[in-house]
Amino acid sequence: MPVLLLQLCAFGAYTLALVFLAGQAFSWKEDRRLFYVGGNRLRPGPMVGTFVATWMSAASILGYTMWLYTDGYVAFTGSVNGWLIGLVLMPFLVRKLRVGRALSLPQWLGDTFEDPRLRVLSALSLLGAYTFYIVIQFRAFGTIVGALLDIKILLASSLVYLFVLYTTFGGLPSVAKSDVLNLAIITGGVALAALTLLNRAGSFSAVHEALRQTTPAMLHPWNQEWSPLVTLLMMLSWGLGVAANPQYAIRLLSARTARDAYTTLALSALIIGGIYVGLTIIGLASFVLLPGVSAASDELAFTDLVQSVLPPLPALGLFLAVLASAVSTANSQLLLAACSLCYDLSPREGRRRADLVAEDRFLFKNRLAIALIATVALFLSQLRLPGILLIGRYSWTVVAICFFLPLYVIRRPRRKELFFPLAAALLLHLFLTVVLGILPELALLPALALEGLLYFSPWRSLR
Amino acid sequence: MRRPRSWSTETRIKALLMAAAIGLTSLTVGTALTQGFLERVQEARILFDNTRSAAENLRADRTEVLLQTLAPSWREVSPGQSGEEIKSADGMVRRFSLDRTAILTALVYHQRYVLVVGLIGFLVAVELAVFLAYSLTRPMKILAWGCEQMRSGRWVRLPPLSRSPYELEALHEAFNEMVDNLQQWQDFQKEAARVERLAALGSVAAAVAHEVKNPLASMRIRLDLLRRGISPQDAEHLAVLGSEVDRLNQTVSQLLTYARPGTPLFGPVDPGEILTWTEQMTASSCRAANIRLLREVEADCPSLWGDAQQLKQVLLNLTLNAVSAQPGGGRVILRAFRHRNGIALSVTDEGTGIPAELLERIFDPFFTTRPEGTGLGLSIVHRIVGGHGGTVSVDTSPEGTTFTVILPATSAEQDKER
Ligand SMILES: Nc1ncnc2c1ncn2[C@@H]1O[C@H](COP(=O)(O)OP(=O)(O)O)[C@@H](O)[C@H]1O
Ligand SMILES: [Mg+2]
Repeated sequence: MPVLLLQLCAFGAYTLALVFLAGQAFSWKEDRRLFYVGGNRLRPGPMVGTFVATWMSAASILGYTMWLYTDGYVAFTGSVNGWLIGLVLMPFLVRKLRVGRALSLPQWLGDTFEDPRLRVLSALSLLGAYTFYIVIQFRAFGTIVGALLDIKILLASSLVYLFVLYTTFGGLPSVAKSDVLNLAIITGGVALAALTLLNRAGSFSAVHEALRQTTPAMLHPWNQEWSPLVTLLMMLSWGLGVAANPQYAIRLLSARTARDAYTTLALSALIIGGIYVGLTIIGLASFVLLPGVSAASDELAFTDLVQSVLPPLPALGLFLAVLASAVSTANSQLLLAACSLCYDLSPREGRRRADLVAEDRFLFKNRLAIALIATVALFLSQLRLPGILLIGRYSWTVVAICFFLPLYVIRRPRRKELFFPLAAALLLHLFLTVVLGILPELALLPALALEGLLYFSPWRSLR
Repeated sequence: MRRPRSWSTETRIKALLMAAAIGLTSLTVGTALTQGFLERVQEARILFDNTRSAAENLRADRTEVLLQTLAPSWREVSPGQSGEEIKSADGMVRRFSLDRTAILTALVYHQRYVLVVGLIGFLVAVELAVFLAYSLTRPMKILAWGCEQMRSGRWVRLPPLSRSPYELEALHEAFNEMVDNLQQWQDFQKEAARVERLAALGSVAAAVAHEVKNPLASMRIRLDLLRRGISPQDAEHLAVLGSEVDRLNQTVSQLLTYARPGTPLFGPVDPGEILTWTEQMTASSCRAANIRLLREVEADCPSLWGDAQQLKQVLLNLTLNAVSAQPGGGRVILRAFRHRNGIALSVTDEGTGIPAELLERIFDPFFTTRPEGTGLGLSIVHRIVGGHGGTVSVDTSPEGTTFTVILPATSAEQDKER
């Protein structure tokens, strides 16, 4: 069977599975609580699915593997390590988040500090951050499938766009359902590819041995160009960013009980660790088997590499894993972006208790917003703007500035006192990145420090 | 969340459309691929035949370029394996076999856009199916909600549907009409119950009043007779007795007016005149309560059609209520003005208003919140105005209360009849 036909059939099969397993998209008795946080009734099964599948994004599967392929273990120190730190911090959130009855993180922030300005500010940054995140997902997948099938990128991106729309229209319940499927594909694809490569390379220690002989630098956890300090800071910043990312916090809110949330975190940590091990094997083993693959972009290099080191079937599995991770990350981000737009940025929403008719209208508005944001992201992903990736990185750091301190550091929130420090931190971050040209990830740390200093400083009463 | 007991409309529609989409997509794609494949195989054969006949006239070393054109559809087989032969002029034989996989690969590559677009089309179809189902089930969902609200005693009207099939719109309209009718029916039943209650009360009241009135009259006469030749001290007692008897008499008369209002004598009535009369009648009680009474009659206000005596009673009752609503003094404004349904007479005060929970009962006979009240004033107003085919309405707030009586104006024919 021709490889191309095999690939097309696989995408077709994924489409069918998604359509059938995501099930009835709009439930009969739906309200905003069901739509945004699954009625706070998610069970550990779907929770783990949606947590891990959201965690693994196309960019992280691809970016980590390719970074590992080019630089070796530095990639682990610089990124995965940081992400895992974020994961370790998360259990501390569970109780804190679950006391209120908030439906979104901006609402939680506004309620905790009794300051609607905070809600608006954080909702705006979420909306921006996630829109650009989705752009990145669309683009990564579009590039890969475009190269794979030799078709226009727009067509390939439209495919993910439709997958994402289909699963997001039903709100969190349908996102969670489809994410179980996505997680199965991700773990299956990565495991198959890793095992095949291990088989070809002999064993993991054989891979290490080969590296030690050819390029020992790759086994080094610190980069030669970057000082350990920069790597460490980078790692810390990734960690803080992940820890404060509302797409995980919102899942902790959706769990049925706090216990379920803890279970989810524990199980997810295991699976995520496993997937990273798989990716590490893929990155290093493929370097040993075929060093020196490079292309115009990470995505193209990844496509080339995977097609050359893996037989068609495992290669296809890995590509499907990238697809599944793009869909599962984009749909939960899309849902959050729509929530920010329709719920947190619409001042009249949520004041009164809406009856069914108003609720129905509200949810319809959400669906329109979902379609709108996804379309904007699709459009942006087709513009060949070089800065888009940077904007994506910039915006998640902004989100971290909004949420890290209130989520993890501040124990007793004081009414209306966070807004000024937060605004100052955002300005400092803007200044450092735009005027001084510092990487957004690095600028995050001084901005957070300033925010903390201003909030906790003893002379704050002078204001 | 209640588990759906059977498949929802949405699932059914989705399943149906999806089956259609899958069927159509696979049918067209399958046909296109099969046909393309067969055609390519045939082309390959023709190519092979042409190449073979061309090769027969060439020497072996000249055939190389020619034979290369057979790729990728034809693959040369290694010596000893079976295949179709091509002989060159000098007798050299080479064998080839048809490479179906290569043909299919080329075909799929050629058709890849069709295949991807087919997939996209399928997804779009599914999403449309979801929205179609959504637009159909949403009105039904709202309807079910409406029924549930009605069952738990809340009156609801469904919002107008936009962009829904007209059958569903008709369903919603029918529901709303049903609610309206039910509401009217309920109002009517309430009114009927009230009328019944009043009728019963009225006949009892009339009987009692009749019985009481005669003894009262003779008591009054006896009192007047007694007054002559009595000591000043006793005269004072008698005066008190006399005023008590008068008060009793008045209550009984009111009761009688209420119970047997008597047939009204209709004729044109000048609203200004009624207001003037009311002002005169209440002047002394206004002065006592430190109340300023104002009168506003619209310029050339047309005349009313009614019984002047009864209408005076109406205005008097309303004005007395307005006065007693302001024990600390204030203003009472009497107005007469044109209204789209006739002529309006209104009495406005600056009292503290009527609590919402009492509003339903103030027109009931014997309902009163005043220790010296009879609770008959407003029920008489209600009855008289009803007899005139008019309406009374109350508009009250903590800043004051306005009672407005709307009565038919004198029509041209009635004027001529005079
Ligand atoms: N202008 C008014 N302001 C406040 N309350 C009023 C007014 N008119 C009527 N009411 C309320 O309606 C009740 C019934 O009035 P009515 O039938 O005239 O009986 P009565 O005057 O004998 O109490 C009154 O007891 C009073 O509570
Ligand atoms: Mg009265």
